[in-house]
Order: sequence, then C-alpha cells, then structure tokens
Amino acid sequence: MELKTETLLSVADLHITFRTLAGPARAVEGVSLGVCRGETVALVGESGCGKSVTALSFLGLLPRAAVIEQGSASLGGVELLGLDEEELRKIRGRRISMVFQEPLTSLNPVFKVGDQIGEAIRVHEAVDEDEIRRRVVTLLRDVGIPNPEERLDDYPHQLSGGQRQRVMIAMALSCNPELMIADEPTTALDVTVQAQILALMRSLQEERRMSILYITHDLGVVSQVAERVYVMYAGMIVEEGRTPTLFEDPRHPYTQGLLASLPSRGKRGRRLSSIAGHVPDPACKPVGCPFHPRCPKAMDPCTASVPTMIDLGDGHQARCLRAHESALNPAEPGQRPADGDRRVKG
Amino acid sequence: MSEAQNTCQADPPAAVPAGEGRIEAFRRMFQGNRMAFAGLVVFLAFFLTAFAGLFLTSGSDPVFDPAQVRLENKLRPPLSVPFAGTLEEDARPPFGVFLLGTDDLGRDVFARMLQGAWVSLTVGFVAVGIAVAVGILLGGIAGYFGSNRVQVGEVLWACAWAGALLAFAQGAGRLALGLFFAGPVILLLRRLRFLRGPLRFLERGTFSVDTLVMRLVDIMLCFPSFFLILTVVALLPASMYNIMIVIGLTSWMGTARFVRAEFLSLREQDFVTAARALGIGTWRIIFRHMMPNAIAPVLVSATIGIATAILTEAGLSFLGFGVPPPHATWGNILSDGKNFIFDAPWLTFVPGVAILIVVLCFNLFGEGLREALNPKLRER
Amino acid sequence: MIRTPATETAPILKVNDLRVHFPVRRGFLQRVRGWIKAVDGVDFEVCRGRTLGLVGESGCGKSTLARAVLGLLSASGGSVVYRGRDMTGLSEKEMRPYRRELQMIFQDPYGSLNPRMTIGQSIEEGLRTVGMERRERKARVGELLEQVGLAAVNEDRYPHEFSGGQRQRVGIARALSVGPSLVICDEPISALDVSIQAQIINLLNDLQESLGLAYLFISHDLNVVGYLSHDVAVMYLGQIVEYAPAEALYAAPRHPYSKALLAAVPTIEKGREGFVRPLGGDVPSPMDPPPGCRFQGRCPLVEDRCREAPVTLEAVAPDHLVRCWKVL
Repeated sequence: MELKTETLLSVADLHITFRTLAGPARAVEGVSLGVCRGETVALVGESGCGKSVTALSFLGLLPRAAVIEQGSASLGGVELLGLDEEELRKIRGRRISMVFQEPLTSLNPVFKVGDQIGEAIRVHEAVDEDEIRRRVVTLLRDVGIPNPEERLDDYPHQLSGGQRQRVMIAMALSCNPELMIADEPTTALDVTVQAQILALMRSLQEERRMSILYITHDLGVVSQVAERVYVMYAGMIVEEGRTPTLFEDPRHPYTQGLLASLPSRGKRGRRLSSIAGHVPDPACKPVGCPFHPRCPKAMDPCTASVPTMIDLGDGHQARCLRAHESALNPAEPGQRPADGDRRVKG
Repeated sequence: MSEAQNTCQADPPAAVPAGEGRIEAFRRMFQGNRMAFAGLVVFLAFFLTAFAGLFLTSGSDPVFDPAQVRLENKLRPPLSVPFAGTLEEDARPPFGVFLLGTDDLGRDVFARMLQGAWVSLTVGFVAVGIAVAVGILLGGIAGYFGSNRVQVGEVLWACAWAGALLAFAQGAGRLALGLFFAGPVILLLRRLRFLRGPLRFLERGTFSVDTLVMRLVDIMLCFPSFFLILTVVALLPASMYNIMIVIGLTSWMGTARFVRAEFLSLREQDFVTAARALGIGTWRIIFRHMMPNAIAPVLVSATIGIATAILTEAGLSFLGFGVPPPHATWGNILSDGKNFIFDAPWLTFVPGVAILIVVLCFNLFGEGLREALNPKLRER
Repeated sequence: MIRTPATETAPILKVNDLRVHFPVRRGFLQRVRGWIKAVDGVDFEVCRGRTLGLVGESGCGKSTLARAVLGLLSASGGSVVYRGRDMTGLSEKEMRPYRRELQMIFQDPYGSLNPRMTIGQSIEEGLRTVGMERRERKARVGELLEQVGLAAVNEDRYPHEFSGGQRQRVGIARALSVGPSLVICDEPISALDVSIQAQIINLLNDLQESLGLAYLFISHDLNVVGYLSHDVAVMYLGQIVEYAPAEALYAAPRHPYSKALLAAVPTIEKGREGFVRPLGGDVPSPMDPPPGCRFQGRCPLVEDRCREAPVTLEAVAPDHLVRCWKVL
C-alpha cells in the first residue's frame, strides 16, 4: 500500500454544541482527525455519537441551533469554519462534496436526473450546455448506469434505489472534488446493491485519486473500504488507527465491546457479549470518560477527567487509561506485536 | 458480563422528565405560544360569561332581565342612568346604570348580551359536536375499510330499504313492507344450494366504501352551506335545536376528510398490525387504538368550527331565521340595531365587537393548538 | 416437501405452496392488468424451540410471507397449517382464537407502539383478548416487563420516553402477552444500534430456551441469521431458492444467488482484500415475473434452459434443497 502522507483535510480540537430546551448538548467534543489525499478514512460510531454533525460542519451545513465553540477544520490549508456563505458555496460541490443516506429524499423528485447532476457543473464552472450534457453522460457511465443517454431524462422515482445512489455519487463527482464525504451511503440499500456501490466507490477513488471520508455504523463495511478508522463515542474520538490493526487489536473498551457484540456464524452457540447500558444523552454526559458507566474496565481515575489520547505506535491511538492492555496478549500488558509479525487478515 | 448487566433497567436519560403527565404536557404546549394562550383565556372567559349569563338571566325574577320593556328609556346610551321617576323598583337595572345601554324597546342590552352568549355557546358547541361525531364516524369508516368493496347485494338492499321508506311516506304500506323484506328474503334464498350459482352476481364488488363516503362528502360540499342551512331552517319550525342540528349536519365534511387522511396513514403503521395480530376486534382498534392518534387535526378544526358556527348563527339571526324572539341572540341584537345605526350605534357595535372578539380568539386558539400539537406529534 | 431434521418433535407450523398475488388494477373500470406475485409457491416447516431464518433482499416477499402466515393478508393459494389445523381461508372471527398462538415483532421500534397509549396499556391489550381480569392483568404486565429486562415501574410511561432498544423489548413483551408458540420476527434489530442489537439477540435466545418458542426470523442481515438460526431459507422474488441447516448453508452455499449474497456481505474477517466482484443488476420487481428461473436476469450461470421452464426445489443432501438444476 503506497504511503499517503499529503494531508488534505485537517481537523483540530473541534467542539460543537447544540442549544436545546434541556440545556446545551455537547454533540462534538475535541474531535481531531485527518484525511490524506487519495485515502479512504472511516468515521464509525452509533447513532447520536456526533459523526454526521462533524461532517456537516465542514460544509457549513449545521442547523441554526448548533454552535461551533472552538476548533478548526482546514482543507488543503484553507480554514473552513467561519467562512461566509459566498466562500462556502465555492467549496461545496467543487472541493468537498457529500453523498447522503437516503437517495429518494436527497434527490429532488420534480427535476430530471440529468438536470440535477448538471446543476453543480453549471454553478461552479462556466461551460456551455452541450459540454455539460456530455460530461453528465460520462459521469453516468462512470458510475455504472447502463444507457446513460436515456437515463438523463428520467425522474428519480423511475430509478431503483441502487441507481439513485449512483446518481447521487455522480452528482458528488461532477466537479471533481478533492474530498467526498459519504454519510451512510449504503445503509438503505440491499446487500448485493451495497456491494456494487462499495466496489464503485473504490474504483472511482483509485481512478481520480479522491479522498473519501466514509461515515457509517457498519463495522463490516468499514473493514472493506477504509484504510484508516476513527471510532467515535459520545462526541469524542475514542480510538483511531489503520483498519487491520484496529480490528485485530482494539485497545479501547468501547471498540472491543462493539467488535465482541457483532453476531457472526463463528459465534454460534455462544452467548453474545453486549455492552450494558445505553448511549448517554449529549445534554447530560457523565463526568470524566464518557464510556465509564458502561465500561467493564473502568477504574476510579476514569471518573475524574476525560483521558487523553495515548499513542500506541503506527498511527494507532486510544483514549483510555488502560490502552496499553492488549486483548491479544492479556498476560503481558504493554507489549504490542511487532510490525513484521502482524497478520493482515484478507 | 453478568446477567444483571445484560438486561438493562429502563431508566431513560435523566433529561426526560419522569412520567410526564397530561397536565405538564398541556402546559408545555402553550409555553412558547402567547397567542394561543390569550385565545384560551378568552375562551374560558367566554365560557364563564355564558354560564353566568344563563343563571343571571333566566327564571321569573332574574338579576339581569333581558325581557323587561321600559318604553320611556328606549335607546339610552351605555353607562347612562335611567330617567328619574320613570322606573319602578323591579324595573331598575342592577347597579342603577344601563351598562351597555338599551335597545328600541328599552330592554337592557347587557342582559340581552348575556342571554345571547348562552345561545351562541350552545349552538357553537353542539353544532360542532354533531359535526365532529358524524365526521369521525364517516372518516374513520372510509379510512379503515376504504378498500373494501360494497357488494351488489348490499347496494340492492340499501335501495330496497330506501324505496320502502319512500313508499311508507307516500302511504303505500304494502309496497313498503314488501320492499323491506326483500333483502332478508334474498339472503335466505342464497342459502339454498341450487340458487347459489345464479345469485353469485350479488357478491360481486362494486365501488369501495372509500369511494362511497368521499362522493357523499363531495355532494355535500357542492351545496353552498349557508344557503343550504337557510333553506332547511326556513322549512323547519324555528327553534334553537333545529338550527344546531342543521349547522352540525352541514359542516362535518372537513373533519371526515382529516380523519380519513390520518387513518389511511395510521393503517400502515406497525402498531395497528400488531393490534390485529393480537386478535383485537375491529371496532376497538378503530376507536381505542387509532382514533386518539387521529384526533389532533380534528381538535384544531373543531375549535375553529365553533367560531364559524357562532358566526353562522349570528348570520341566521340577523336575517330573521334564527332563534325566535323574544329570546335574545347576538345576531338578533345586531339585527334590531341596524335600523338605528346612527341614533344608537352601540346596538350594532356591542354585539359586533363581541362576536369579533370571540371568533378571533377561537381562531387564535385553534391556530395555537395546531402549532402546539404538530411538532409534538413529529417528536413522537 | 421440506423436512426439518427429525431430531425435534413434529413441526408446529407447516406452510405448503403458499402464494400471495396482488392484482394490479388500471383504468377507469379498475380492470386487472397484471399480478404482483409477491409470494409464489413457498414451503417450509418450523419446529418447537427452533429458529428458521428467512433471508432475502427487498422485493423477495419475506414481509408479505410473514403477514400471510399470520392471516393478516389473505393467501391466493396454498396452505398454512398450524398444529394440524389449516388456517388459510378462515374468516377474521374464526382466526381469532389462533391469533394468540402466532405473534409478530416488528422492525420499526418507533412505529410499532401506539404513541397515545402507555406501554402498560399496549401490553394489556393483548391480555384483554385472552380474557384476563383487571387485577390479574396488572400483575401480568409487570411480570412480562421484567421478563424482557425492563423494570415494572415503567408501565405508565409513554413510548417516546424510551430508547429504540427498550421499545423493542416492549414489543416483545406485547407479543409474549398472549402466550404464543411461534413468534415471527420481522427484522427486529435492523433499526437498532449495534451495541443494542446484541442485547436483543441475547434476549430472544433466552426466551426461546425458557419458553420453547419457535421463531421465524426474517432479516436481510446474514450475520445475525447465521448466528441465530438452526435452519435457513434464502428467498428470491417470492420463492425459496435454497433451504438448509445454517451451518451447511454458510459453509457451502449452492445456489448462485446464495453464493452471491454471502459473498456480498461485508464482514470483518474478510477485510479489505476479501473483496469479490459483486453480483450485477438490480433487485427486480415481483410484477409478472418471467417464465423459467426467477434469477435468470442476474445469474452468472444462466443458460437457455433456465428461461424456459420453472425450476423446482431438489435435494443435494438429505436436508439441503436447492432450486437450480445446474448445481445439483
């Protein structure tokens, strides 16, 4: 795997709070992440962990009740937070584009598909109509829609779910963005269609050297598409690292709990371990580590303050006071398998 | 992980108030909505006034007498004192002042307004009550049974009974009786094996229940309602009850549509399927499970409907088709006053402003309810 | 006829050649123009204490099948036999006593509870139909809530005060209230968070052990089905294309669709390199399916013979049936 080091998106210490009737809800607390050029990075977490809010903040699409308290997010050196509408509009669709979860509601039902795809081109580039049409046809072909010249004039309801999602991807690609943010793009799709879309995104990314920030709750999908993973819980990044490392040797109890609770046929006959309790409400998070009420490894210091990220080498970090304890070698905390011996599951 | 930790005790996040009762929910509804609250306050004030009015103006020797004629004191302005020496003890107004003046027969306008308030209130609520009842019933049936088709046999049966009714009205007793029993007879005949084949056409579906009810709604909507009410009221003997019933029976259509729309979407919800799967009876599902969820738009339109009913009654009274004199209604007073608009403008202003305030406040209350109920529904 | 392994007692539910066809009406006179063959000849059995997993993608007819088995939709053909009694064609009234034997839990925890009734009332409704007295009902509601892992004091709370996982538990309690023998689980965990899914799966397993419940577990999530089920049936466009014990199916699927389905599921074991060329085409519509094999549009092994005549289920092993003549 080629080393990808040129940083494209850099987020540092992002804090986003929502004003609610029940008081301020700290949806995102101290999130720092980075995406390099040509890399696929996954942001994983369950509902309410703040992953979508984080992504929306880059494009200035947060609802009015949300306040960015502090932090920065920069794309290729340009600061994104705090830009005015005019500046943001130049970035949206052109440098960063977004693919949403539900293609039926993300596409405008009263406009033809071809028009919707061409709209971004029309807004961002000064090209004539024929050229736009040609590019839209090319895009539709690139995303794998058969007979693109005819599909141009279809309305969204005439297409299947998989095709609609491909149209959304085509829209996101239309101005050759540097970064594509995909927010649960395959959650609403059937398994075989999901596989097609994932394959499509991989091939597109390789062709165009585009970075993808993949937001999902599905760990299986993450393991198939992402090179690096960030795990979010209650508005914080609790673990990050290269995908194979993270899945083989998770160091944060939340990641460990999640992986252990996934059902698979390999676990038949054995009781699934589950994480007790429930995700905390953002308006009233516990003091200290947000996971400690549910954590089987919680200790007293965990309730005092939020742990800092502990570096475990090779980009693997975990926000846990017991991050050095590896589940692989429980008798020898602090020892990590050497780079050379690490088996890459394939 | 131990058993106890695996099963989660249901303590919802602390932010949610424990066991939020109906009262708190009600109070929270009006928290952000001043208009609705003001509307509610006036609504309650109106209610109390009308009740008080009923007691204060009825009986043989009421506190405020709406029927007392004082010809020497006719057309007196509000807050004026009766002319000295013109009135006996019992004819004096309470507080010694004509609070809202007198009309052309010297009757105390304030007393008449109080009496009229009760009429307006009753007409408003009862008429809307009837409209809502009919609307809910028909809307619920159309929404729940919508796609069921009415069978040919059932249509014929209905026609036979309608025919029987007509025949009875015309005095053709025997024909009526024959038509009346035609239905059950055919039902019995179908049990006979050899007739079952040829009579199969009776089981064929025709139009759906939904179509039936909706076309009935369309038909009723074709009539300009005020003129329909006017016509019916002109034909029937004049009484408050007739008016209430007629207004009620001509304004159920909106409610029916709302309820039908809600039912159509509720029918697809899983909790209705679950209720059917549990074996709960159809009528219980409709009234106990689905109806409470469909009520919200009905409440809103009912509130605004009360205002409309009050206006309609006032209009009818103004035209002379309302509650017969000497019973006062706000429309009546307005009507009497129109002849004296330059001499005694208070006779038109007082009831006019009262109607305006009540109708406005009901409308505001209804709007406020709609706003308050909607986001809450979306929350759920 | 499909047979389950003879280790258990006789099956409590037998479905034979079940068909559910919906007419498509067009035009002013609402003439029937075509048929949506949502379920088109399905056979299976479910035994006491065992779980039959039903997998398939959207449009395969699994939800329609569930509702037809419960009698909530009328079948167009075939039979559903519960403990020897044929339930197809019964009227609502005749069905009523059987309703308590067959229950269902639903996918959407937000739509499956009446928002205007407390959870206690929702559960009580079932108890009313079995004719329990008021005091008994209250006590039983408390028992049921405890059984699914919720504190009994919550019976006066409204659904919106609970989380998705908790609501799903209430749904399970409601289904259990009438004492069923078979529970159809229609995607009960797809709408829940990953960490909660495991809790509900464990609960379902526990209840199966303690109450001897039979489950018909419908899901598109092959991992969960692989974990929970004893036997698995794979559905495609209204028909079962493969039927086998779970281990056999997952270890060695035979039908091209089953293979493609299992290959398409992203699992952690496979990782990034385990990426297989996915199955092409879209999930087709069940309206007026073509003659011959239903999978002809997307099958990598398709031949002319596949398009001519319908394919039947044949056994490749004693308990393993496949609807494809090419892999026999």
